[in-house]
Amino acid sequence: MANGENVVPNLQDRTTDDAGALLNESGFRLGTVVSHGGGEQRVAEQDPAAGTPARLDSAVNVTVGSPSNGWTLWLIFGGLAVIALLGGLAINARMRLARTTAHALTIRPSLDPDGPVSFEGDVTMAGPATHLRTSLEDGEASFEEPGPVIERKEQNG
Amino acid sequence: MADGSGVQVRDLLPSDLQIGQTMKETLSKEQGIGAARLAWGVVGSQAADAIKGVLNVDALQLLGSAWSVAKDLHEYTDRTKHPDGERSVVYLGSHRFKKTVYPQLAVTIEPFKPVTLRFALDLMADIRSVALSILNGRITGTGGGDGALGAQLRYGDIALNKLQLRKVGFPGSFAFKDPGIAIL
Repeated sequence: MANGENVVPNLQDRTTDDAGALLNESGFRLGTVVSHGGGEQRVAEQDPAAGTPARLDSAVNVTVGSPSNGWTLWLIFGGLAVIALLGGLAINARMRLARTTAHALTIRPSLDPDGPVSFEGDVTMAGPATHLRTSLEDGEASFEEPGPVIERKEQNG
Repeated sequence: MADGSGVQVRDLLPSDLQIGQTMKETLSKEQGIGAARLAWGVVGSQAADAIKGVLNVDALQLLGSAWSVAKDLHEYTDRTKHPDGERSVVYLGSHRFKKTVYPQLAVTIEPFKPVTLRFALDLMADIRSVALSILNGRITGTGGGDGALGAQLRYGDIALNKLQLRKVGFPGSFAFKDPGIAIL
């Protein structure tokens, strides 16, 4: 590095006041300050760039803004997206649950005690809106020819 | 005296009996229900359980009602040949038959009117031999035997499961519920 030069310090994320003080310590001075947005202003860009040699007492121009604005926006939009997603999932889950519970089942087998066969069924209770009622009706029997043949018989009494 | 054959008709059906699609297709044709958004998978599963519940009956009960219409046994309704109080044991040889029962499922989806679905269950029996006890024109029990049984549930012409026969052995002594099954 030549005499009368120094390395430009890194001003990134410093306030304008801090950047000016640091530049003064390093033998530079704060030049043009271009500002974007409001709120707390911090250095986003600098010219010359940090680490480059520059003549002492030369000006270092900075662009300041609210670097958090971008993140804030991302956080806001990201947060809204997450909320919407979770909300959607929750709503969907509630709808599914409502659909399931609203149409849950009550099962009460109805059996004919006078039929030739006595049937008993399981009972499952699951809700009021849809009801299943089962019954069993006796039907026909059909034998393949020649059908059952008595091969032997025993009698007593 | 055994309480049963150990084979329930429901156990002859597959555990994953699928009837949800059949119910959906049938019930969706009904006015109003077609537009209802139902968890058909849940409805079908519960309906399958309900049908199996009503088929929680000993296979021998259905076999007994089939034997009650066998021609060779008809003579036991003749009290001149077989007077009251006469106890008979008959041994039937190899025979095959199908016994059908109709599980009915009445479905009410509020606020719509009930819809009844009439299923058919074919109990297929391939009997090698069986002994039947007969008293007063009724089959009162079985006295041993063996064969193979299978069941197929249908809705109309649609088979809802694949028929598979499985070997069974009947207990040495099984009594039908009093007074027994009337021979026709």
